[in-house]
Amino acid sequence: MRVCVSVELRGYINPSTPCHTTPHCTISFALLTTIQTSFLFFLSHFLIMDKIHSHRQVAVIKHSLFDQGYLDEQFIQLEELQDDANPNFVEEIVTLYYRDSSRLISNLDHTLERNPLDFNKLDTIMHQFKGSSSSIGAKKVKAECTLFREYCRTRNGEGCRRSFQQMKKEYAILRKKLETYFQMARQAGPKETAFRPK
Amino acid sequence: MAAASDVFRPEVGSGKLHVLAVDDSHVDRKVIERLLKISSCKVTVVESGSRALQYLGLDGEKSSIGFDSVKVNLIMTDYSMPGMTGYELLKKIKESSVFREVPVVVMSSENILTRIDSFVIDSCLEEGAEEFLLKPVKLSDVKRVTDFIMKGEGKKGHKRSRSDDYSPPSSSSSSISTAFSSVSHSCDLSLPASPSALLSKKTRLSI
Repeated sequence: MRVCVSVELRGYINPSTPCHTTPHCTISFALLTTIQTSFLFFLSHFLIMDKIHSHRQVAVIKHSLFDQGYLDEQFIQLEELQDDANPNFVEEIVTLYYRDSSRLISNLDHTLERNPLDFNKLDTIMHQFKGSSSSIGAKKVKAECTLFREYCRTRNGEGCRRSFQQMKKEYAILRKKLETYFQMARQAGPKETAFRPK
Repeated sequence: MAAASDVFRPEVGSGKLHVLAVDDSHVDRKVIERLLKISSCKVTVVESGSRALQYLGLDGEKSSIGFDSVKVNLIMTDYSMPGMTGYELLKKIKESSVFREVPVVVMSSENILTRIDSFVIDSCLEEGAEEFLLKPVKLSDVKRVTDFIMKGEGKKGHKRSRSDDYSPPSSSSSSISTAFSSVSHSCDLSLPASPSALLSKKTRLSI
């Protein structure tokens, strides 16, 4: 959150007050300065606290993504590859993942419409998809992929369709959550210390 | 034609290893490229085994007599790729007089292990792969491999060349152990390691 505040404080001088009453003017001016300084102090304190709050919000979102099992250690591995020269590396990888894997998903969709089902082909496509999901740390998506492949192995068409639907749900949920996370992280700006969930 | 030893050792003064990475996944290519750049390597990334051979000039299409082999210090390849697998690429590299001394590292997802396909690891190591890495590959894995090669120790260790003794299937458990000892996730597993033990170790490692 960015706040632009322009502050104007004007001194009030009572024209009816004769000039020779200097001590009175001085006191007013001193009081004015104090008020101005206090205001600026609280304003900057507010902005700093806001920044800390934003970073904390980002950390909270990140913690929950891990606690709820959406992401695993690999995501942290990717974050550690970021630096000043490559500050958005993880977001770039995730964007690439969603773009690339949409092709694989529509491929799976088509292949699941066939009759009879070509389980070998389904397994091959899913192997690729699982690999990419694993590379970004998409834990729940990866788990569904494993289940899907197990159903391929046992030639269970209904199981495949079910787990494919579930996988697509997890895939969509994760996308939304990561979009929010990256947006908040960008808004919060660069941070001095890295937040690392337990 | 450059001598085999020239393409193996890092160029004097350049300080940087030149690594050729091969992976059909766009996401994985981007990640491995970043991992290698952070490890101070010069990186060339290609999307398939055939592209890799093309790059190395091993596709049988050398244009002129004065063909200058590209200098590569390490090749990292994904195992399961459409078309040419990492294993097939490994074999082609080891068949080449120019590039056979270049260390090759094979990367694969744990599927290989859960399917108890130790044959894959075994055969890669038999063919002379330097190491077998579990995907997703970590920075620590890459740093360890590149450090190892920078020290010029690629020829030592458990690399086997085709002219060495072939380990018969009965001793395959020991070769799996060797493979697992070099796999980063299982450093403290007692040998021989079973695939299920490795799997549970991996589960414990995730958050």
